[in-house]
Amino acid sequence: MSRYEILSPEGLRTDGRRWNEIRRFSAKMATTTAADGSSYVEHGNTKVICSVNGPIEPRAANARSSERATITVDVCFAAFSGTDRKKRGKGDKYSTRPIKSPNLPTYQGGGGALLMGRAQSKRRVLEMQSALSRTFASTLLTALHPRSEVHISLHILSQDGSILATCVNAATLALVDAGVPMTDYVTACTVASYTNPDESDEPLLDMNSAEEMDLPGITLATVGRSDRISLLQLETKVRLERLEGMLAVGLDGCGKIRQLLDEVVREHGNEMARMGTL
Amino acid sequence: MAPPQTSQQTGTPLSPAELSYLHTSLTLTPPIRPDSRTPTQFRPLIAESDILPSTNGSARMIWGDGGECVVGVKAEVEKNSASTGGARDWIEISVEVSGQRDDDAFLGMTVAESLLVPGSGVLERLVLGERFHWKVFVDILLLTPPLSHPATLLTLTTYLALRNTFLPRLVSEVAEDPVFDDDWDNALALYPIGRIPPPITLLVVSVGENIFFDPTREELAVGDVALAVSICGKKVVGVRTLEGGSGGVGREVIKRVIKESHEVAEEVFGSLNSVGEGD
Amino acid sequence: MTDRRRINGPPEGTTPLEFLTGFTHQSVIKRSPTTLRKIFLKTSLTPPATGSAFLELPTPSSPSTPTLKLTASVYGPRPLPSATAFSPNARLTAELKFSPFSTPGRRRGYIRDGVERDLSAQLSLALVKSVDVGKYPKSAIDVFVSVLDCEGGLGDPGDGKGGGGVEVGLMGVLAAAISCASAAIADAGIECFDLVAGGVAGAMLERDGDVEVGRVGEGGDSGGARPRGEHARKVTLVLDPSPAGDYVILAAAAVGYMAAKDELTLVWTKGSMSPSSDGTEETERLIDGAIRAAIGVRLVINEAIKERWLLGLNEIGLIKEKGVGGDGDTAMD
Repeated sequence: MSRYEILSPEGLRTDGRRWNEIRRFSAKMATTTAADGSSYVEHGNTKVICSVNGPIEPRAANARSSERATITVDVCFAAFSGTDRKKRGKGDKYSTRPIKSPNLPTYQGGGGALLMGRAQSKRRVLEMQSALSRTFASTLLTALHPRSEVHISLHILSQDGSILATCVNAATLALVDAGVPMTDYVTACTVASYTNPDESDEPLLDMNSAEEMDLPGITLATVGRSDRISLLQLETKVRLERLEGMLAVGLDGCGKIRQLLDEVVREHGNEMARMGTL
Repeated sequence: MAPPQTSQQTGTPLSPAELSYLHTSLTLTPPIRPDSRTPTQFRPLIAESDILPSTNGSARMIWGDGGECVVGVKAEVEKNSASTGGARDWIEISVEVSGQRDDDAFLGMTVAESLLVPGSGVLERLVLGERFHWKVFVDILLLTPPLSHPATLLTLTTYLALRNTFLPRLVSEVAEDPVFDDDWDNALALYPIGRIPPPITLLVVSVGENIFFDPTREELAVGDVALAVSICGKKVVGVRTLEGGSGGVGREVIKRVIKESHEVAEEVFGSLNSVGEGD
Repeated sequence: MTDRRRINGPPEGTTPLEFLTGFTHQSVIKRSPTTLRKIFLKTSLTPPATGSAFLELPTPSSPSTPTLKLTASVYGPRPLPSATAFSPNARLTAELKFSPFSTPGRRRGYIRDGVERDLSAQLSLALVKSVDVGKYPKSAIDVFVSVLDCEGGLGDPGDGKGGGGVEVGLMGVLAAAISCASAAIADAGIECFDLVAGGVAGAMLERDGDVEVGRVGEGGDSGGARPRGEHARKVTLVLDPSPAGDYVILAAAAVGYMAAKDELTLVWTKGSMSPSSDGTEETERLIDGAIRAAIGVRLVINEAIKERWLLGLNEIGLIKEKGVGGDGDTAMD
């Protein structure tokens, strides 16, 4: 096992949470006026800024479809988002998931330096972009806006696990702010599978980066109050019989996030009504 | 002097007649700005500092027109090497504009030039014993396509981030490999209070007899000359001409702009330093 | 058995090569602070271009002297590509490129770096305000400046002169590029409001020996917080400072100046002089100094253009050959 305990015998995780607790979640809508919709989500130490433009005229010819609106996603990792600053070449972006590197001199106690290959990081960003675009394509009423484009741009300012899930939540808020027609909230969270010393398994809701590195985990997104899963991503191997437990915890977590997002949206709506903009 | 000529260059959606109207109203005494600001008044902005836990210093600013800028400062330990030479390499600045492939060279150079002005004393604080030094990365992220020229927004955010940048205290001897104090409360400020603060760059446009600070894109389009004036501490350390304006300007105008920016900078420093004191 | 992969020395011993000590800084130091270096400027040297100019600074006294050499070529006005939107004015683009062999020591890459992009942007800014762009709707004017040799380097870190000063190399290149490109634009017959001349001025720290330099470094340490007596540092305004010169420049300014209209098209200053004052007066003095330098350069541009023009008149037989054939080399006093 790892150097530190992921789950203490008392049932507490490294950051003091219990197995079914999510980290501090705060979100803001309409943070900027320059985009049609925007949001800022802090989930623990993961911070994401999202802006949505659309439906707009497609900027690229291949984004034009005569039946429905196309959804394009840009994911961009800020150079200062990880533990170490990332060197970058022309036009390439950063990875979401750090892999361990041999010991590099670092001034922070413990933790270890994180490093990732450039090609790998680029591939991961592309993967995230396509996952997000497919997730929202199923929930947005794209048929209402043929020959147009909805552009979602995500900036990750600080990464501490559950990045894809936070991106989904931020994008949902920004899409609501932009008024893009959609059937319901898309909410996402992550679940890890922890193996107790007695070989029994325990799902842990909402991974931080330390857990993400050591444990197998899934990212899942659901649509609204239903248990319909619109995104499920598993990047490591996990025993099949554990998956069901993880899914159950994840669906529960998505429900919680949905409630949080709903509160944010309602509060923003009330605020707008007070300001007289509605 | 033909303001309509500039309309195509700067890409404002205004017609020649509108531009000429704007030009006239800006040359009046007292001038009338489209958003009824006084000549030295800035647009409202939201600023917060120390927002990112994984950086040594960070700041975020949201401008009234939707411009949004995030700056993160990270420091890494680097070995002194003969090949990279001077201490000027120790601070690296990159400006990334969202949706643009290239870094913005002009903005980056402006910030770098004013940051590395000799005598600011910042490079000396990066020395770690005999063989190592801090390498500071200043990453400037312009999130939304700016509706007006981003220079002011960008440098004010950079100022805030640098002002709140802390480096761990060195506990090892000069000749040893660097070892740091784990306690962040003991960390040293990159720009300690009482020393020369980081620089800022103010965007100034001159129209006729009048000088305007924090111009909008439309005001830039009709201006005679647009200047970026960098001020470090209480000194003017750099001036650069920007796009916009038609024809040249007399030297008296430029001197007046420099003088006035210097006066306004005092006020700007004052209000920037009060960011974060409220909470 | 010889090693074919290496170039072997001759089997018998040789005496080590002795290089000529070509360049000394003597001439630079002898120049009085307000004297400009001699400039060689000639137009119409690149046949395919509409207009072109070559500038060399200073006029070399011997072939091994490091100089600033650059060529500017102007293409246009030519039609904009059909894909671009309608423009009622000419679009002037300027591109400044350092050749890979231009810098002493390290070779430069071909890829445009930040410095080149920055200088290109400033160059086009300085030029566009002098050209009557309204005369040429739907056209493009492209200016290409290629730096063949830049004397003492560009102030890249590691040049060894970083101690306490700012580098003037880039400013010198930009000012020369402005003058040269303006001459090329005139040579191309494009209508201008005025010619733009580039000028540089710097505040040089006078030093009696190394002691003075040490003091500057010390000043950097203290962060300028400790006010120092003015007697400790004597600052002189020097026009057209040479980056190859062995002195410390505390602050510098480059301008693009239209002498006939008495207007500036570009201002670029950096650095600071005295820690006690606010720097506005120094900046003003620097800009004035740079303008004075630009006025000097302007005479050379005038001369070069006149020479070319007379040559042209001579070719078509309007005037008799008389007083033509100077090399455009004008001395400044």
